[in-house]
Amino acid sequence: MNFDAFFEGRPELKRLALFLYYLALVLTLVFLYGRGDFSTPPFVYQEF
Amino acid sequence: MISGPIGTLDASPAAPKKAGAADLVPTSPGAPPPAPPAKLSGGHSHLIFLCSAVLLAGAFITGGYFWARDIQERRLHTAAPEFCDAKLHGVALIREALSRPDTLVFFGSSELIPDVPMKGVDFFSDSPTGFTMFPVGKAGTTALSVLQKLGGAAEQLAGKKLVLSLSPSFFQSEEVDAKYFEGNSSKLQIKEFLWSDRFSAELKRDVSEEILKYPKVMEGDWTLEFTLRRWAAGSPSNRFLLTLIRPYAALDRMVARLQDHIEAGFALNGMTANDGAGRFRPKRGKALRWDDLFRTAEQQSKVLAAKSRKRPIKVVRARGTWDRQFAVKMRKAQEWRDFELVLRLLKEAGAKPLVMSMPLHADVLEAQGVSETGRLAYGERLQEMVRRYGVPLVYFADHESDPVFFVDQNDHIGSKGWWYYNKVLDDFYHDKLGKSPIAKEIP
Repeated sequence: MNFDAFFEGRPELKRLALFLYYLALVLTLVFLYGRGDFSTPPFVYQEF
Repeated sequence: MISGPIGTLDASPAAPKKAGAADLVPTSPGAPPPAPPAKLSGGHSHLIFLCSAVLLAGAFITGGYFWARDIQERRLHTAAPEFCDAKLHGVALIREALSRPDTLVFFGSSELIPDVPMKGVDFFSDSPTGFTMFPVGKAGTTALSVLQKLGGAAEQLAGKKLVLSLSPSFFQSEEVDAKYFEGNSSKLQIKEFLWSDRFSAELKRDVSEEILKYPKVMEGDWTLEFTLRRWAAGSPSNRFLLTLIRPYAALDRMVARLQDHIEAGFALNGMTANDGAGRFRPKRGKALRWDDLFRTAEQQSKVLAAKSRKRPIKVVRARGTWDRQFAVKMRKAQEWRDFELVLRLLKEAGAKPLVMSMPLHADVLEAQGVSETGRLAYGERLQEMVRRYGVPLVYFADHESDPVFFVDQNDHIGSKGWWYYNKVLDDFYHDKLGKSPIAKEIP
């Protein structure tokens, strides 16, 4: 798909698409790497 | 570098070069006109939109942070009976609990798990005498695990009353099972301790040496390993290296703290407050009748004892024939070193702790050949250690032969045991704790 042609004459749409593209990129990174890691090595308590 | 659906608007370093190259092409009558200015600023527009997206994402994250803080303040006590990672391995909820004057934080271990009537977290949940209990710990929470939790909340410890509950079984073997600390370890808590300005370099060195014995704790986190090794080495060159990475370490912890707040917010949001049905919860405002409560607790303990499946105790040695070996093993126990580190940390932080210890299991130890005289060694060593740090101790030595103080043959107290614990917690919070270092009969 030729994006240049698609956005030709639609500068506002182009700006919006660009903004949403980067926002999605940043939020995906935050989602992928932003969760806290509280994992510990495996542990089974035997005394119950 | 960034590829996407809008491929023609390339933000890679090559993009300005392309535009620049177009500028240098000499114009001739037959040549096409130079690129329009809008095309030349394509890279800039990418930068503007990327920055806008980053700002908006930052606004989302900031909003998330304030949402998480708000929910932590409003719903902290729904986390009191829980054992979630955000509570045990994070710092946000422990700090929040320690910062509240109406909350007594109780650092314990597996005794917090069995669901028995009169368990402290239920007993104080409606704040019957003006405070609630916030237990922190789960199975296998040894002294080193407690240390990292305390070290992660250094700022909140000054002048704060808190309780340490000891399981004597941890002090009866030379080495504590490595999985106990590994399974309770927290990278964030350890980092917060190591980078706190509240603690001395000597304490950080000694703690680092202990933690380095558990390499699994550092797996996948070079910052933590580097910091522990530098503190353990302790030389001026190592201190210099620590100074070099301080800004990076601060950023690393800032991100982890943000994650911690948001994880804690999610965890609290997903919890439902227990309505107390089927649990023993004295209501606020009603005077507690401790004598009546004692009778109820004893009765409940007898019911639990009748239901429990205690293993028959097999006598393996004659009485007193294992006293010396018991004393040697106990004297060498690693847990003493770690417990002393906890006492040092609390002293440096200016906290006001109370140490409580369950009794030994007399019937189990008798069967193993440890006499009453041999068993005295534990209480004496404990008393000597806490006295050096000026910390009050409540040791229920008189209950080591009580058949219903515990709910099983491990360090898991039953209803009667919890009655004693609750009474001591109430006295401690209200500054009514007896002067005697060893609790005899409280009623």
